[in-house]
Amino acid sequence: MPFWRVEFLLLLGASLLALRLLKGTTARKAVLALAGLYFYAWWDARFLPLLVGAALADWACGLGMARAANPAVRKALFVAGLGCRLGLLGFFKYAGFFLAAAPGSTLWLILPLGLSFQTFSAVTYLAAVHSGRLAARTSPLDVLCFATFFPVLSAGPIVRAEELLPRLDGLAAPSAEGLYDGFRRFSMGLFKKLVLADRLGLYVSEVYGNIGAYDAASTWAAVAAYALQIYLDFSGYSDMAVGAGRMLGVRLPENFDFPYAARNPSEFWRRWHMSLSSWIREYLYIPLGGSRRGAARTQANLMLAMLLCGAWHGSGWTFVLWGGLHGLGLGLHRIWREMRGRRAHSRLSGALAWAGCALFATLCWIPFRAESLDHAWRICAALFGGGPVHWVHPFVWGALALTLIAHALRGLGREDLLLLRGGRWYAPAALLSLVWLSVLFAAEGFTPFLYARF
Amino acid sequence: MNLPRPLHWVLGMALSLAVAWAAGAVLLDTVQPVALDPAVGRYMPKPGTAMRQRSEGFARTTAGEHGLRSLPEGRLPAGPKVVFWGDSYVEALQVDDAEHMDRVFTRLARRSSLALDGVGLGVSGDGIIDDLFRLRPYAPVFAPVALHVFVVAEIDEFLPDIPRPGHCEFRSAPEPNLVFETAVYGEYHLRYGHLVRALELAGPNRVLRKALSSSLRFRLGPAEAFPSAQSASKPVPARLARLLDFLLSNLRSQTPDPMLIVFLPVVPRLCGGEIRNDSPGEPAVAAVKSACLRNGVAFLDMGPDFLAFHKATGRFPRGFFNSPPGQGHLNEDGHRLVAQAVLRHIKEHPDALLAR
Repeated sequence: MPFWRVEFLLLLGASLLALRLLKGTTARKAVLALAGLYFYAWWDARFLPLLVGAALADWACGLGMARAANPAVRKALFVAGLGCRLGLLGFFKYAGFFLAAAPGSTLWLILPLGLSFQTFSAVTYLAAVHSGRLAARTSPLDVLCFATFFPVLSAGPIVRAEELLPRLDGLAAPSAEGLYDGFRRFSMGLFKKLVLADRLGLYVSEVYGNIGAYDAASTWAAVAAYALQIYLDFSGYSDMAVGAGRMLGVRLPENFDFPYAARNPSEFWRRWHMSLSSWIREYLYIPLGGSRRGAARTQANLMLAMLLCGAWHGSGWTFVLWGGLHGLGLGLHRIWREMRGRRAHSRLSGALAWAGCALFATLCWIPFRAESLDHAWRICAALFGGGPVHWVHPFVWGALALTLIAHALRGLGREDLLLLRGGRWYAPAALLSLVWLSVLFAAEGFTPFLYARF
Repeated sequence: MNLPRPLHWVLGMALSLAVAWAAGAVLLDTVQPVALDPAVGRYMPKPGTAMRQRSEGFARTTAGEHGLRSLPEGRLPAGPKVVFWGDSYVEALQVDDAEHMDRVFTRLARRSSLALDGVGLGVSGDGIIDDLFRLRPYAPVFAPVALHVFVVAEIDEFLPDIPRPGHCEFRSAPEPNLVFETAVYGEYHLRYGHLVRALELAGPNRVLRKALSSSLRFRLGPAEAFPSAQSASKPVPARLARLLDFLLSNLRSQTPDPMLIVFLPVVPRLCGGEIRNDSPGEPAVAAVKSACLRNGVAFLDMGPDFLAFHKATGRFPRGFFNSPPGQGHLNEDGHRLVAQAVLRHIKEHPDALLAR
């Protein structure tokens, strides 16, 4: 159920009303769980048993771990829980990729909505219970409510069980502050997604679909437009998810912090898809040894973590290449930092570092968007040659300017002004304008969130 | 947290509506009010109203006498005319009045010392069958006519049994026949269209139309997938030739004035990273061309002109700064090429036209 559909707004409104009317946390959790199940079933009810079954398996494994006196049994249950979750993810996401080469293979699977994000959240629950950081939940409703919290169900942010479960325990009736703050974030996300990202997508699709015909300037514009599109699309989605959560009384983790303001790859990953990058750091990079086992091992760990991050995005070599490029960037930056030492940037070196990092991140999106490695190569070649046709939609310049201004305001420390935080008198006018403009200028046709397919 | 006060919300709603109104008035296509033209018995753009186009191109066109666009000072010229019939390609909301093919034709004809005026009758969605039925009602309006030019963007317009709601149709069974149908405007459009235009309410109008056309789905998924519409059954070539003869002889019989069909193939076009010079549906084009020649209607394929123009300049006859090159409606270059080609045709066939 896309966030901009009237059905979603009605579901959100009904949930808010129920939370307002009902007393007691259990009843409120039941409302949220039911809303989550409906949200999911609206997309495809056939996968409902999968969602519920996996959540109950998490609950059972967690409870088993809590009650097991023998550490070996605890570990076995932990591995079983992980195996269940990762097995489902692997089957639905990668079976087609591995079997595609088999002659006569007719396997065709639908990837259940948000399966990757649900898996990562579930892993945080199992790991937290296994390590003793979180008490296992005795009530299956708690785990079901955690697993089906609908603002994050389709594409995150990836919420850790240690964060979300206590917030659900303290679920109160919706407050005026929460409703306003949620509306503020939601309307901003709506504008980013429907007006900016989707319109950029039309230009990107045209140029990427005819790569080789367009000249170098048009190809550069399309590459830049895609970097903006994926940022505005996913951060727009995240704004809406965080906003919906805030209205329901649950603070969700932020996913973006002006990523194109980063001055090195490491900083970029602290600002881009923050819930995923912190998950990878905590559940992959650090268990692999992190940076504690020497320079060579650190480099290998960085590369492995980013390759897996790439593979997580999709079953294709283009995603692996994207992850590999970021792994390489992180590794090189680490070497550079160790050689140079931790020194503050001068104004000039800071600007150069920012431009270099923005260019690096933008170019890395080429394989991410490309349909194949060959397509990615042709896009790269077109950046330095291309065909005879020139076309840069003026909207690309407008969106680029808007994003630059937003990042510049962030650089000047004026993000409160940009994000309309606080009780500014003009905030309602600005937010309602965003809503009206989203209705008026939404691109025609259905364009799902880009990250919903991951 | 400091929350905005209720007064701020009231003020905010008023200001946001003003912003939405202004944005709609500047950036959206305007609504075109229509009025019944008793002379021809059909609804046409209300004379004197201007239409602003933003979604494709960036132009302003004004409806003149009988709702016709691009008339000099809104008045039909009195002398012999070359009438351009067609759909949105002739209506050409995407380019300014002065660049419409009929106006360009007039300028070119004057330079060649020909006393001919171009007039365009383009109505979005119309096809060759609609034009056929309009020839007689419009005869007194346009007289004298030196040449009828039918601008056709899709060769499917000649094919039978393609449903076209609100438009005249060509049916092949039980016997080939032509069915008259005319577009019906809703009560809302007829009653309030001029108000929407006068008050620049394109924004609220779009919101209303979206609200009315949106459908809610509360049932569980997956949503039903509808198979794509079956393409019309294509008759076998021999039957197609007979059907085309029926249509074109019928067209020919509507008026003794000379006729020319101008076909606008989508060439050159971008396809999979290549600039393609071939046009889809070429066999059907050849069949229509043959039928035209058999029935005394001249046929002009703009493909060679478009390709030669692209080869010489690198530009496309379709597409605008805000739409993909090679796609969509004709731009100013496309209109000029059509006007030039029609003038060339007239010069090449002086006996058939100018002797009249």
